[in-house]
Amino acid sequence: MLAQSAPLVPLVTPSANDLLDLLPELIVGFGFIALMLLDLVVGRQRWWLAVAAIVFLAAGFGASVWGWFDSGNGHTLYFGSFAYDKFSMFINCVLLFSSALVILISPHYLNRRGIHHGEYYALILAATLGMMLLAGAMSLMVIFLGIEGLSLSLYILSGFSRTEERSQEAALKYLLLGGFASGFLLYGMALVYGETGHTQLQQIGAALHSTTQADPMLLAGVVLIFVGFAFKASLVPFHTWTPDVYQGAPTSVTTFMSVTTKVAAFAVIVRVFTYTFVSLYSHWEVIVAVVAIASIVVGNVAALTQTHVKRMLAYSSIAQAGYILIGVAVGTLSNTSSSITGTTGVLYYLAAYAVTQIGAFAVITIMAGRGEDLDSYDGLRGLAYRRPFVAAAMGLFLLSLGGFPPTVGFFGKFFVFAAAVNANLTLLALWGIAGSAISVFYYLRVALLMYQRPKDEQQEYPWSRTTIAGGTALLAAAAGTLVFGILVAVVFNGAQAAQNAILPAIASTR
Amino acid sequence: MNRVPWLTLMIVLPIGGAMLLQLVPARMTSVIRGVTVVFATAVTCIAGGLLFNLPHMAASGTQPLSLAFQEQRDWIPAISASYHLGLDGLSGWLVMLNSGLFLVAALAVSRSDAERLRRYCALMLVSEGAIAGTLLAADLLLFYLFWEGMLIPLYFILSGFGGPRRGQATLKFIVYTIAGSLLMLVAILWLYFASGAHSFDLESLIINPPPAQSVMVIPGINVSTFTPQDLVFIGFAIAFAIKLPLVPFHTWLPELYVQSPATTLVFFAGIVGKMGAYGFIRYGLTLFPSSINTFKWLFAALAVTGIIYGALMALSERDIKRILAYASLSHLGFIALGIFTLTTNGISGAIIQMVNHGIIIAALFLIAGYIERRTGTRDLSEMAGLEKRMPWLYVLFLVATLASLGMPGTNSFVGEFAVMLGAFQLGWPLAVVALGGTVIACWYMLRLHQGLMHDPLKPATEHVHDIRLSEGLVLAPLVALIILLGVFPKPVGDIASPAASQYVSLASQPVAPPSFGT
Amino acid sequence: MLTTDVFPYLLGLSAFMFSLGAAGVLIRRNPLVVFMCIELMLNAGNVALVAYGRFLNSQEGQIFAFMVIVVAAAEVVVGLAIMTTIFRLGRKLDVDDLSELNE
Repeated sequence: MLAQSAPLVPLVTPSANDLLDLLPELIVGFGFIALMLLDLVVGRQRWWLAVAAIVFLAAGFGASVWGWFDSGNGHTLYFGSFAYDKFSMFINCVLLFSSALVILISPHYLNRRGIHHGEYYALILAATLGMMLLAGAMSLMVIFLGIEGLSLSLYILSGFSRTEERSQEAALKYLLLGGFASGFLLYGMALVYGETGHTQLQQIGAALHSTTQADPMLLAGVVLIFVGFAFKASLVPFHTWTPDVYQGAPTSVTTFMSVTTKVAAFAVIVRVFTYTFVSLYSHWEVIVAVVAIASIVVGNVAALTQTHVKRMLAYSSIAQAGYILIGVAVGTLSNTSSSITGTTGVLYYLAAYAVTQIGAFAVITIMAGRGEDLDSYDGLRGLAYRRPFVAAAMGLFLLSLGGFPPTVGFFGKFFVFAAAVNANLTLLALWGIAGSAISVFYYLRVALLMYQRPKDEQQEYPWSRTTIAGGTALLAAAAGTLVFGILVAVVFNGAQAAQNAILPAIASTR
Repeated sequence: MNRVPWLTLMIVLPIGGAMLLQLVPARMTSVIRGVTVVFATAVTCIAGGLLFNLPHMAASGTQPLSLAFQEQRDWIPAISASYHLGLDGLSGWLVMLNSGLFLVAALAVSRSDAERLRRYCALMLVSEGAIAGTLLAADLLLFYLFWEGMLIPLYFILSGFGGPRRGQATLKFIVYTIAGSLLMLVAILWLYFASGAHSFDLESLIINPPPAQSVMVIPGINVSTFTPQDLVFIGFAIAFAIKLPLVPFHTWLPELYVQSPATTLVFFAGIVGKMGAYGFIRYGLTLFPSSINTFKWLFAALAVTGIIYGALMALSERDIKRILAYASLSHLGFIALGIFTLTTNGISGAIIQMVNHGIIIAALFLIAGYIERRTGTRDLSEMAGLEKRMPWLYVLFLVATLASLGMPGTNSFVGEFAVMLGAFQLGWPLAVVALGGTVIACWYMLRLHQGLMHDPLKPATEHVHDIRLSEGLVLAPLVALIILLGVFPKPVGDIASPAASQYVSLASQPVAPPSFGT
Repeated sequence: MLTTDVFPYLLGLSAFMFSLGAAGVLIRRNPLVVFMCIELMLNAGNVALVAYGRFLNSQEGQIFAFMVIVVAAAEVVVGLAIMTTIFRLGRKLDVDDLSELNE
């Protein structure tokens, strides 16, 4: 492997079209800079920043939708280092939608917590930009930049409550473990680069395709890269930071990172593992499957004993990541001509997870009291008597997370498990099912608590009132959860098109 | 053929009613009750009309299930899942039972918890819609959607309303059923991929069954096990057996019945308990003809065990609700036995018995609820002589009791007789043991009736009033139906028998001989 | 001018640095030292990238290393800022003390 030297890339200037195809990323990047400058102008009228952020995100969303139709079968930009395909546009849409919902619920929450600073919005956009880079990354360098871009922004956001020890502690924990993961990721990338001679995914895939046996150094690199990604997606055994950071960070930040980080991490996992390391499938399949099972078991069992909704959702998100990883473990295997494949399942699940999880955390954000989070199970008791619509929405999100039809969460699980059955990995689907059965306990427990009579009828609850913006976000998430659980074909067709047009490393595999 | 989507209406109408209820202020209890009754009545009228027209619908010859009033639309075209509804003799009766029992429950709903009346009524209507969807769906994915979706309103009803230990009991039920349902989901997926049709549509799966696969042999010890189809059938069967419940899966039932209020039990014991039996006939018999023939002895044995076990437990209990719960278990055993005889007699008996048992058990649980509300106890040993205080209830209870033990002239005689015929065709020992069950049934039901009604009054029953007119009006139609269907069983049989013979022919269609060997 | 003979030693050096860094992260308790160990891991990656780049005669490794250096610098800025804030809150810096969240 080490013998050949790669031909140098000829010096050509990138075309203007490349720049145009990068429009969604450019808009968000421009928004990030513009928001920092705008912060100097608006003074105390910080809600203008939220409006501006939403405008930028909406514009990015529009550009992504346009890119969806424009990209056709997809092509690479900048000499193969960035993808312009339906897959990245699908992920972009999910990311931008989620970020916009987070911005909607943020101002009120930040005000109540007394941490309404202007750079919040810029940082959210910066993190979103990093994630979008990950979604389209076709080169190890871009992947590294994307991961670091989103991580650096999230480190700061986790510690956004500067005077609160818990928030700072969360930030430090996230920083140290995130940096540790970056170290693994980088070393893995170095090994893969060294063994294949390339940093661009297409060329790596081609190089791997032409080799017959796998070099141990190469496999070590692949495993180290997976470890790096697994940290970001909070998969067992690299999940330990998740509950602490989710609980310590301000809830709006938790909302943001629990959803978008996972979406971006799985996007890059799919692109790198399912489509680039495809010829090494037999080597990484077992590792991925074991991590998936471990995440499902550990996440669900740990969630059973929690007494705070934020921590429960943190553990449950670990389990959710495990279900999604089943779709990755399936790889490109398919025994039949059916259109249900692992990647379609992953994409559908990501969209379902985003809209549901954001809703569940949004409820906690919206309810937050002055200076504290009020997310203990006892604090939720009787919510339905005071806030019937918020409670109904929360119930819907919990049911969706638990995979009950007719919500979008059911179909997420359905497509992932279907892909596993289709690939003759029925055992993996059965593990997922065992996990789902356990998860019913803790989701329904919270759902029921909200509908129980409050212990003390007269007690004043410090629940915040629901603002118009927060209500809109909640309504959007609830509508998405329910509507896409019934009109399944819309998202599924999108996921399928995205899967068909994903830029593979090699033209046709298997 | 009219173009009104009647079947969709039966699903959508109750759910729409539940949404409408949210607009009514919670304190306007009579409006809430009125709206609920109106919607339940509307659905009952539709179900009745469809059932009345069902024999006149020309069955198209090409389709394996002669479904009438079909509606079919694309749902997820990419995976050939469609919104496909249809009605046949089996689902027709159950839909009728469903809407009828919910109407009774809507009429019987208690005013005592006015604050939560709206929530209860709304949940009840949503359950009705979901159950109707389960019964009408002719697409496996759609069926699963309703099957599991039904649990959401039921969970909130069961865990929100009833006795102090309802939470535990409900959780047990939900976890049991979900574990079963999820196994069924994997089984559905396997069928989808293994069948050449790549479709979730029940009929195309019947036409294009998965190719017969050889028996799996455990490597090393060379022990033959089952074919993959058998395992998949087990996945379905466990889900249905839990819901039915068949005996080893029944443990959620008694405590849940005891903890639930009478109104809930009217539809929960009346129709939800029939869903497992419905699933066995609709999906077990049609999709797994060879597997069900392999396993019919096992399931028939379990059913008979259930008959005897339920009867003996009912005999040993003193709590009237618990007695009725075990009696119900015993009667569900009869329904299951009828199904697994795989004969026309047995299955049409099972269909008839599903309807009959739904009516009888609803009446019995309502009566038990009325007695408990008046005496404040469910303990049989604390009550006696109610006949003197409640003459009207005495008469109604007597009819229901006699029906419950299968007296000729009441409705359940016809059904049990047909099941027995089928059981004799399968094997006489089963029938004899089942017959033993009916003998014990006489014993425990008469013990219940005599214990409550005869003998001198006891302190708890000293100052009891008879049922009010409104309560009598809820019970009367049920009791009238018990007698009416006992004297004129023909309409039920006329609709049930063709459906039964159709399912029997599907279950006994020539199956390609399994190729043995590795 | 490097010769290919040096290459295994460079790889060995980077592997040693990486292991040292990873071990340090797991063993050391002071966040500052842990942070330095993380930087050591990143630099191990850099050494490997540059060595491979030289050996394969491609510039990608070196370009990658430059990017890593920039990113690592940014990470240091953020990390030190967070540690300073914690220090201002009057906490002793020890990762074992970070147990506020493990109620």
